Amino acid sequence: MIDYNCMIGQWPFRYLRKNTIDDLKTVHEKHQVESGYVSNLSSVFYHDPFEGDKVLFESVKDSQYKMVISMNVALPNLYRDIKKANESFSYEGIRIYPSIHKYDLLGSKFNEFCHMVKEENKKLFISYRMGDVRLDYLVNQQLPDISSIKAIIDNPYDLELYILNLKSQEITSLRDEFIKSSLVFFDSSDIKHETFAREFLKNEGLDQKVVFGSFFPLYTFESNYLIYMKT
Amino acid sequence: MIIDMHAHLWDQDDKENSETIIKVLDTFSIDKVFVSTLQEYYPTKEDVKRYNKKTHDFMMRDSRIGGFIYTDPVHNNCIDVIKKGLDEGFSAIKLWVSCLVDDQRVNQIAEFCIKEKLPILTHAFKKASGQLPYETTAIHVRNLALRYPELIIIMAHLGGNSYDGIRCIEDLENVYTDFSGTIFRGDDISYAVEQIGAKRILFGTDLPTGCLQCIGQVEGADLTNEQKDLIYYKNTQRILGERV
Repeated sequence: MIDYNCMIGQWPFRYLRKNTIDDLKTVHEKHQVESGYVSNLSSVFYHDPFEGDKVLFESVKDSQYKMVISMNVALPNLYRDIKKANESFSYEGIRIYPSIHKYDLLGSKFNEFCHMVKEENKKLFISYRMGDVRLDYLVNQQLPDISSIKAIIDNPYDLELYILNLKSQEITSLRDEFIKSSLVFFDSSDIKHETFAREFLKNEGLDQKVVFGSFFPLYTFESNYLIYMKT
Repeated sequence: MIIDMHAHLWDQDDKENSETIIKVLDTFSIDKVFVSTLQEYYPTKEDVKRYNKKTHDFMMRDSRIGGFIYTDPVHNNCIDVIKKGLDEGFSAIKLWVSCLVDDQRVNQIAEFCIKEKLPILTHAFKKASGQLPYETTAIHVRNLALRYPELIIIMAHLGGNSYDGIRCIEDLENVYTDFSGTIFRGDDISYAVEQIGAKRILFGTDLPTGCLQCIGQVEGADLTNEQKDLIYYKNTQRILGERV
């Protein structure tokens, strides 16, 4: 099994007791998770996300993990980030955080960004939310309108695309789009609202579109593991 | 052993909620679940009567189902509702969002509960957005607990946000908390145990929504087996006494 939604690093609003690559390895090995797409939480808040990605690279190089760099589409000269990453790292994907960085997913800049990701042949990970918005502290997330996610799935720039942290009802509202788009997937990290979540997804015809995502360390790994494996 | 002390039926649901709860008990080896029925934020007396009947009907169906009496402090018959529930075998009181828990109208309920040794489970949720006008938060729980140190209060959902919630009840030994609901941030349980100890934390799920996320939270925290047992069932047994 692969974890498509895991992170290391610091979260500025609370102390994380387990947030290193060794902590991630320990919990993954305990539950037979072989690998994961890992990004750095710190990069979400650094004005230059590349600084966090340098730290991430040192943690994941020579490991079983696949590096995912973080980008803020609202920053100028985005090509600089990709160019520097290409020169510095071996990485598999790019992760963005529109609820924190607050930009328009239907705007021209995002369009330009997606074309760049495609040119580089990288996977794109979109974090729809970074945890429960009711528990936000100091920074209030602004969730993208679900219609903008629908538009991206309808026209995914021929990218391999993972939409992370969607709730069950949001997934259901995008059901037809997910089924039509062969390269677009969602992760299991926020499907908790359905008690028998996997059964629910199967009944919706979406069981081939879900990948395992723990959202470690912001969510309890064991919670999402049990939801994915036992429901 | 696992006792889930915080679950619900919803009045507008026909049978799906109760079937989900039974399926959870059967599938995930939950030994007992305590249910209250809710729906309207500001119910009428007739609504409350219907809610508690629904809970009672469910209790009669399966010995693994226990009940918490839902009563609305705004209603002048709120004590009669509790008395009827006790006669029918309910185990504790549930307060929700019609009235802040430190409202003076809650006093009569608190005094009755002290006399009858009945715990009050109160909803509590501090939200960054979408707070309801009479939705209790941990500071309201604190006010009530200070007013009635003999009253046993269970603050639901870690107060919504554990960092606000726990700080408000940390020094109040008569206040317990559960981590029911869909909140399952990493470290919430570890933080709560560090601050108030495992003896004041109860296992609840908020069924029919979720369940395994709550088990995962206990299993994911670095707890001893004794701490896990306290959380999974011993604390609820102690608080409810013979009514468990």
